[in-house]
Amino acid sequence: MEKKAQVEITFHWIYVLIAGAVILLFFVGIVVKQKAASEESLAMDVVQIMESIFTGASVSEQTKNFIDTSSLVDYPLYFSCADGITEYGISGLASVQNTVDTIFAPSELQAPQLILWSLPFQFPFKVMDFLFVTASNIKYVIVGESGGFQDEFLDAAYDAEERLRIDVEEVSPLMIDIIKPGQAFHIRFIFLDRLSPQLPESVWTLDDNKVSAVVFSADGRTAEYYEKKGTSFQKMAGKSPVSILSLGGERDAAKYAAIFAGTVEMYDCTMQKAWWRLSYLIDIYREKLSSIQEYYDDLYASEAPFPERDCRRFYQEGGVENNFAMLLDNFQRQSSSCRELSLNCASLQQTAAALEITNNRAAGECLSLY
Amino acid sequence: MPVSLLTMAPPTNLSFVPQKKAQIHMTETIAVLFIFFILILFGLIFYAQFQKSAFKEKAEELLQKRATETMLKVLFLPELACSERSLSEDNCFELAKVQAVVDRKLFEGGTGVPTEIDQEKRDYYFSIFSYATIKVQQLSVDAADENDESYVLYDHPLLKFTKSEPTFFIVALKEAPDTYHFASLDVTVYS
Repeated sequence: MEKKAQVEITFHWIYVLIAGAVILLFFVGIVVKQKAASEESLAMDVVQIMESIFTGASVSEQTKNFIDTSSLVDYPLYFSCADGITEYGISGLASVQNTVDTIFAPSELQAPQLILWSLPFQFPFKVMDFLFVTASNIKYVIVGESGGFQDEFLDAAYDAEERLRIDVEEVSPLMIDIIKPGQAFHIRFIFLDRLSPQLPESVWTLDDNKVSAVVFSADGRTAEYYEKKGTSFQKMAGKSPVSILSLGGERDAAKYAAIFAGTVEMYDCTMQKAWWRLSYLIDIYREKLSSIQEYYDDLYASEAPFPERDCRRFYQEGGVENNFAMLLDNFQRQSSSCRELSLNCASLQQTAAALEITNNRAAGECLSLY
Repeated sequence: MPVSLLTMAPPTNLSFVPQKKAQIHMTETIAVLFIFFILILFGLIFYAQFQKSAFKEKAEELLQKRATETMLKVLFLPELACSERSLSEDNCFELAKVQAVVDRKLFEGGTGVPTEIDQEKRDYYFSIFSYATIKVQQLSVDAADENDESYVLYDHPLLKFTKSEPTFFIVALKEAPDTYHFASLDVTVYS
């Protein structure tokens, strides 16, 4: 009897232990699953907030904004563009895809603060706003000189508000070894005037993915991307060099984009989105041209066609050499060709320049197209 | 020998009482566990109801956020915005551009038989605006004037929508060369 009681008590406690363990495991399982779900939900919330901020930042042109990401400093943010789709988010947790917005950013960012800078891309009329994403711990080093571009970029990157100030340093090619990496998460060297990319000794010990370079040609029309491989630079994989199609001038969005884009692929893929948008805008301007033609046809209804001071010479075929009608037709054709093959996009530049000249001429005495 | 019923001792079956006690004890334990799991079930049902209302709130919040974002995008669309020699004017639409968009249905892939490019264009603007209706209603200062034109720039409502969120903004409508009208920009998003 005693033995039976002993067995019963022992079994009783074993039963309690097993039941207790099962219940405990049940609750631990719920907690673990809930933790993972909460992390994913937080990441999704953060990425959605970033998307909203990016939308707001990109429409406020020529402005800089910042996002406080100090709570996510342990999680790297990634940016990529392929097949016309920009993707960004927190690796392994949440991401957003976008086929419209033009975002130029490094491939990876891990910083307490992101800096967003929006510049309008004019070609020759405004096509869209380019959004440059960088961080307080990314260093840009300009090496060399190119017609004052380095001073312009330094001036543009500077901001009276410290948290909006992009870390840009200027050095001459002979003094490049004085560069100190400091706490920089990534260093981007910008070589102007087709200088050979040299890797200073001070960065030899950094990881290869922490250093990169972009080399501009003497005229600033092309750029090549390089990545660090040991103690030297090697060209990045991908189509090289990239063509920088723009009308120049101050704060050239297409040129600045080449500085902020992480890779060749990101630059090409994102610029392709701009060309798509351009092709849709050309339709709008062609219709606007028709309404301007109608306006002047009504205005000059009783006068002889194309008198010396007649504004219609700018808008109709047979008018001035580079009239809007002819230029927009060419622009449309070249834009369609550019959409089929990116190599064909170069022809857009000349037409855009001609449109700009005609618009400036027309604006003095008649209605401008844009 | 006769036995008195009064003095007869009750049956003493020593093995019977402990078994009954064990059975009662086991039943008690089962009952406790049963109640425990019932309580857990109530807790889960309560949590599910709470999550349901939290999801509903979140969905409303997201819809409002989408409405604001869509309004922002429309206000700064290069396809509509006023520009004079590359200088853009805020909160201003060019009438010529608005008419171009409406007449040719440029945000909806064009008129007539849709080509591949028209479908691409339709998808492109859908990825900007999603399910929404965008209208510009010209306003006249004179209340007696009934010539308030209404321009529907984009009309893509969700077929069986459960919620809609309208937002309004006042913009200037520029008619070449230098005439400005007031207009109301109405953006309604659907979910």
